[in-house]
Amino acid sequence: MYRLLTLALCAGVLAPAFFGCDSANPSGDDPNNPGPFLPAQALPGYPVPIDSLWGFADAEGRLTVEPQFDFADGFYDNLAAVQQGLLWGYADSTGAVVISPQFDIAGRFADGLAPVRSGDAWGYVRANGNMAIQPTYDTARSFSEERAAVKTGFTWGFVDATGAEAIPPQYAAVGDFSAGVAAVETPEGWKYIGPGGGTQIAGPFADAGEFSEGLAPVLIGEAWGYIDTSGNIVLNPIYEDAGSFHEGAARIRVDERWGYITTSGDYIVEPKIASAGDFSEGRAPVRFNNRWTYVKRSDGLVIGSPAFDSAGEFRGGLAQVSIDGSIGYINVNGEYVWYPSN
Amino acid sequence: MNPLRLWATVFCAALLIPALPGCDSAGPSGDDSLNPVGTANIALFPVERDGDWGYMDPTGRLVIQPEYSEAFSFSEGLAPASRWISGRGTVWFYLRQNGSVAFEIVAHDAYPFHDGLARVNADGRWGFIDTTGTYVVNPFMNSARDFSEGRARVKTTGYRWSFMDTSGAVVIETEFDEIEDFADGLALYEEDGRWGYLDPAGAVAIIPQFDEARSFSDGRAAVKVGESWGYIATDGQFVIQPTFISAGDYSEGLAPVRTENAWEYVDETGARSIPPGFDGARAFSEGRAAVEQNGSWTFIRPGGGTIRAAEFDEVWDFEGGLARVRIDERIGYLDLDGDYVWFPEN
Repeated sequence: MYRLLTLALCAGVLAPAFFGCDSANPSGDDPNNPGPFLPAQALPGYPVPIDSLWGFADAEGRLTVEPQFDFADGFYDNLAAVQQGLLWGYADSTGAVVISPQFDIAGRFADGLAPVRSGDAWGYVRANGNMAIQPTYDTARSFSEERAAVKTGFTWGFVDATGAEAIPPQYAAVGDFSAGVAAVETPEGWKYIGPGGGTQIAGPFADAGEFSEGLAPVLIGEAWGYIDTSGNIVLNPIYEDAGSFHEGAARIRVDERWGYITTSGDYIVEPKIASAGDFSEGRAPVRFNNRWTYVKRSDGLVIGSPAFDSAGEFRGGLAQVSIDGSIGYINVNGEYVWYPSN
Repeated sequence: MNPLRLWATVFCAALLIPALPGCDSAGPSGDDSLNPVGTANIALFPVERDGDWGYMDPTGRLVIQPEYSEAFSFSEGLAPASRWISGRGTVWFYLRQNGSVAFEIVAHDAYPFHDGLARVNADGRWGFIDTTGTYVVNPFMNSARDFSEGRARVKTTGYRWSFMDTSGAVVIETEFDEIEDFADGLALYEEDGRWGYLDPAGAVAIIPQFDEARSFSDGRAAVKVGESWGYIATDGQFVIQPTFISAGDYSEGLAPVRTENAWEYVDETGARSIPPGFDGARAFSEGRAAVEQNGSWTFIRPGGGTIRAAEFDEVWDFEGGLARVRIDERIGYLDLDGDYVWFPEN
């Protein structure tokens, strides 16, 4: 449960990689010539469970940290949230606990800070273990572009790394900062503000997503379209639902099915998918029926049969998947690097 | 393994045989000349031992150990066989004729290759893979059938049949409940109780006008007008007037037809070639045709003589010089002379 919450809270952190635009995309998917979407500097470690205790493996699937934690999240800014007993702290790539377990929930590091909860209140901890912002908020999200969304009572605002309320809580809901702006919900609807709180794109929109790769999905009337950073509509509102662009592709929903479009609105994958996630490292998780697999950014085809109960994003060349209650890791070709274990 | 499922597999495998490219080539009788390109080089045949499936060579020697719960015949050089693997599910191994594994794929069902593509059912949805095991059509479809003549019958996200080309593009959308695969460039379909044929572009080639009809084979199709069956050519014109009570497919110059109470075979002019004498009769394949006598099946030569006494509960057409036969629940293989290459065993 904690983990779910942590993941949800920190989903905004997963720095979208700004790879080349669509034109840079090779048409094939030759693993020997992976193109611009396989960057993948391996992470310091990947959390793996063995007999209910978690350790870390390297990108080749070798166990590097013996199982010893009750739970472990992935590495962010070279630190991984780990749970010992009921409390959470942070471990480094050697498995050394560098921030002792003391938090009820521990989020993911970004911009050198991680949101943590002690008791009923959220604050932020530094990588050296010192509290940067004392626990005073009802909810706190990870930093992005030196701003973090925090909630007091029923309103959201943003703090900077010093803890100063750069934008005092006043909004019913907010997105995270990207491309210098954040979507915020006002009584009139959604608009975009700058890091100082000034209005950048007035809207108002019925709903608004994050800017990425120069575009943001916005709900206009009953349908989603995309605007540029000047607020001009560049893709007409014709979608039932729409996500931000990642690696030149955005997931959109038409007739209750998801597909992917390019920034010019052309289909990469026709809307025939039951559920779809964002692209990272050239792969996006998709569900056609009950189970998940991944589609390739290069040709929109799956890397293997839908076989997974869950499918995480690719980070450092691997993605965490689950099957029948076991956790495994696959590479971009869908091959197990860590065979499912629990 | 659910026996029903197993039998469905075996049965489907038999149905696939006639769809093999090249299987329908007409020719004079003679064992060597009759082996068409697609089947002449079949080196391995699925066999069952103690409930598990392996493969034998044409001499009846077991060359792939029985370690699969399902096993299909070879087609285009590969045969899918499956078994359950913990942590992965049902894994299909596409075997080469030398017994090595070309690739594996996780899927509920996986079928032999046709036109370079194989249909797989993964998690309840159908897609197509190429001979490297790579998906070329994502597994999103409600139904899919094998490719035939560059077209596959599919139901994508709806419940009507479409035809897909080998690039995965839907090239024909139909609104018919009953439509068959392309054969000799034409697809049999039914509209308002009448049967006609579509061309590969989806246009009407032969207007629905028949009370019943079969797909084309060797350039002819059996069609029924009123109470009688005859044969048309691909231009829709009758080549043999409707006079038969029942009619099967032309192959190797002969077609099984029923006149009075028994089946016989007629030649390309419609003249009797093998006299009536069968309770059931199927088209020729590799110079042999399956016939039923007194409730049991065997095979005949083009001259009408049987290769073995009718003793089988079920037979599959000859392919690669051998025919699978079933007695009770036991599977065996016959050669073209009716001798056992693999004696029926459990």
